[in-house]
Amino acid sequence: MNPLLVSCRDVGVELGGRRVLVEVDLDVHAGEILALVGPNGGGKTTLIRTLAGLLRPHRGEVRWTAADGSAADEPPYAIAYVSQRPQADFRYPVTVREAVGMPLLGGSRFKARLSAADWERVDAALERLKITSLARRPIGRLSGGQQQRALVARAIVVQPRLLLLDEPTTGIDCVGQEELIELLRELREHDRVGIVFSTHHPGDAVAAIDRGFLVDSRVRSVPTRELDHEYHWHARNGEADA
Amino acid sequence: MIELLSHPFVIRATLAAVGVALVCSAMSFFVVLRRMAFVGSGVAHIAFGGVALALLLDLPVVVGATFASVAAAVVIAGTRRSVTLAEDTMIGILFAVVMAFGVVCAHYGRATSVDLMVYLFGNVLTVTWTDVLLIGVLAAGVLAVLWALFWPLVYVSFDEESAGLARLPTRALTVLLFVLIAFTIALSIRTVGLLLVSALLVIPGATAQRLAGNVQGFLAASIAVGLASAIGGLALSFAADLPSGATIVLVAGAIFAAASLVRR
Repeated sequence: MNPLLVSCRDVGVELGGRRVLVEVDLDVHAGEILALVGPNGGGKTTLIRTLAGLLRPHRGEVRWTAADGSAADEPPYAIAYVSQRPQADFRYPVTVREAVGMPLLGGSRFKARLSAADWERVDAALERLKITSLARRPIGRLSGGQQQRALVARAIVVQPRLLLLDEPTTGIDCVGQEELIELLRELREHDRVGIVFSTHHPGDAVAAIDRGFLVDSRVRSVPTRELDHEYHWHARNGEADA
Repeated sequence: MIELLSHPFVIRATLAAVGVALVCSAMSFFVVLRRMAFVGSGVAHIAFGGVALALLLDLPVVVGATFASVAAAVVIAGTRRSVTLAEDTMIGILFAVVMAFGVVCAHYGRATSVDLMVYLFGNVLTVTWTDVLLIGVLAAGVLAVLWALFWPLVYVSFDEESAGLARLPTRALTVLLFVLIAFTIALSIRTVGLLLVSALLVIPGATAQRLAGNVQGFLAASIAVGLASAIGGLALSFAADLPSGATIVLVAGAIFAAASLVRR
């Protein structure tokens, strides 16, 4: 079994007094891809933000496992999160290369400037997302799909152990979607990254997914081949709680 | 015009105005992009309470203004994530209450309306060498911190959530940014005054935003607009015998209008 990265036990999350997630049990290991499907308001984003440590559960516990095997209440390693609605303020005149490099300023001791080695990592991330030609362009002047690629590049530049993506294919064309799925496979195979992503279109990604889950307040494991069917059946007949 | 430079008061005024313009226009990058114009204006009004209290207690005015503006910046930065009070509501309450406190202090103190006018609207012609030195030290300190932590401050402003996940001390950096703005306001009192300093914190950056496409260009354009406003405004105020602080702000406004027309 690959090393455990994060584990949720009996987790419940409330937002604004509303129960968004109930009795969630979920483990994420290194080197696996988990897909979350479910209706709008079902809690996919809340679950991903909880795994990132951005939301605190009101009951149960989330524990992250450090490289030495010890469990912690705070993420002890780099977590990369690509939000469905980016919080980045694209009015800033920062270039794609500068924006992608920003997370490398962080870490246990934050830096004021990036080193030559850091810039090499930035260029490698741009290359991986096939956006090297956009490196010098202001990030605010890219199309939505190009911005999404830049944000994925910014996520992987820190060489995360856990990569969380909330509907990452939104706004990306079909070629871009295939390339993104290929990238996720590569990160799983070569870098042993644990990946969790949410989607409304599991179809194209099914072959790459190791485990699938239907999220609608509760989280239910679903065989990957049935993800598409379960999602559509549930969207029509299930009852989203918001 | 060159003859004017033989007068020590003109040299002092020029040095003070250039120092203030340099710091205000560099900070303008964050004030404009983080939409902190109201923070700048609010903290400047709050500094007035410190000025009036300092006059009442016979303390150096810069000390009172610095204390009040830094304290206000820390309170605003510390409570900006509050779910019960929006940032602008907190500033609106603080600046009205502290200004009212300043008016009461002025009523009991020995400050004349002329004294208060100097701090509200500035009078760069009356700065002393001590003022110039103080402005120089404060300006050098603010610019040194800004230079050293520029990119972490940009990251926290550009995407606070991502910066937090990258384990940057987002709260401390945000408080630091607010405190730098507070120091900038305190050092600007004698030059453009508390009511006009927000213009120098906003107009250079707003002009640069229209002209520049990258961070370096933005900073260069903002500083150029700030310096041109300070030197041009001072020269115009000497030539036409106009109030110096107001003339500096009017020149900055004219440059912004011209840049807006060019961009059309």
